Amino acid sequence: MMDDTAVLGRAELAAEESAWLSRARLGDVAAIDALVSKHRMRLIRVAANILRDRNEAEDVAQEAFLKAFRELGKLREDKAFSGFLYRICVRLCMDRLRSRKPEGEVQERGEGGTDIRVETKILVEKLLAELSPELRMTLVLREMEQFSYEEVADYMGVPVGTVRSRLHTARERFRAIWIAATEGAR
Amino acid sequence: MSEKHPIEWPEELESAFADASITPEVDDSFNDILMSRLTAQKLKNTLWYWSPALVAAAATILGLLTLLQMQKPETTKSFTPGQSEARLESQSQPELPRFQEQPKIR
Repeated sequence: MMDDTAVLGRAELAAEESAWLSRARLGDVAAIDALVSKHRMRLIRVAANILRDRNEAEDVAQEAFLKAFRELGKLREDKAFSGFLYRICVRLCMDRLRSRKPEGEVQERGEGGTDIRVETKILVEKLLAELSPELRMTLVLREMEQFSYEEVADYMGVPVGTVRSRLHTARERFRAIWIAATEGAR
Repeated sequence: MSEKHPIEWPEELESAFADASITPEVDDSFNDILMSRLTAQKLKNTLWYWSPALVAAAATILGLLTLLQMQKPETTKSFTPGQSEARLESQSQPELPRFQEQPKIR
């Protein structure tokens, strides 16, 4: 019974989004606004976790929306809109990561909370910056954003096997540098 | 989500990643900025789409004007001075009659 309600709710949401997309294709500003409001939070969060910079993440999210609405005609199925949007966003983030200098500084800083949490956050950011853009992206999308292997593969435009192998390498490397960093601090 | 990690991923790291996750605060102006950028993009695309037609129209108008100008009958006559004006233009001194000196009669 609960599942039926959830499925029905999901179906209604999908129908609503499909209606917004049809109107957005005709240039309806209200429909575009509704779509942006629905997806912006998660999109900015994904970009912020990849780039570790809130301002840059907002900028990337804006670019992703602009590109998505410009290329809305390429979208075959309305239900694939969020995937379409994340794919654009992830690729824009990847471009930015690749254009950064390898020894880039950690830009995001603590935002209140306990000192340990802030320290952990800074350490994770510092260690993530040591990974290659591909490994970093895979690790963040899977471990921080909890996307499935298939979703990560779709957003990054690589086969699932590549995601698995990258994730394996990323976990191995991250764990090694994490142990080195935390044991050195103790 | 419940997939077994091929590499051991300690709970410590799992919680570290959870702690390091950023929760953004979306600015209210986000939608407004995006809408104005979308409008600008639409305008740019429209101009880009119509620019060949606009250039062709401008070239056609220019060509037509040139053609009309060439075929137009000449309304201003070229200056051909009449005899009086020609005289006026002449820089030569007026010719005075010369009288022959007559021998004196004694």
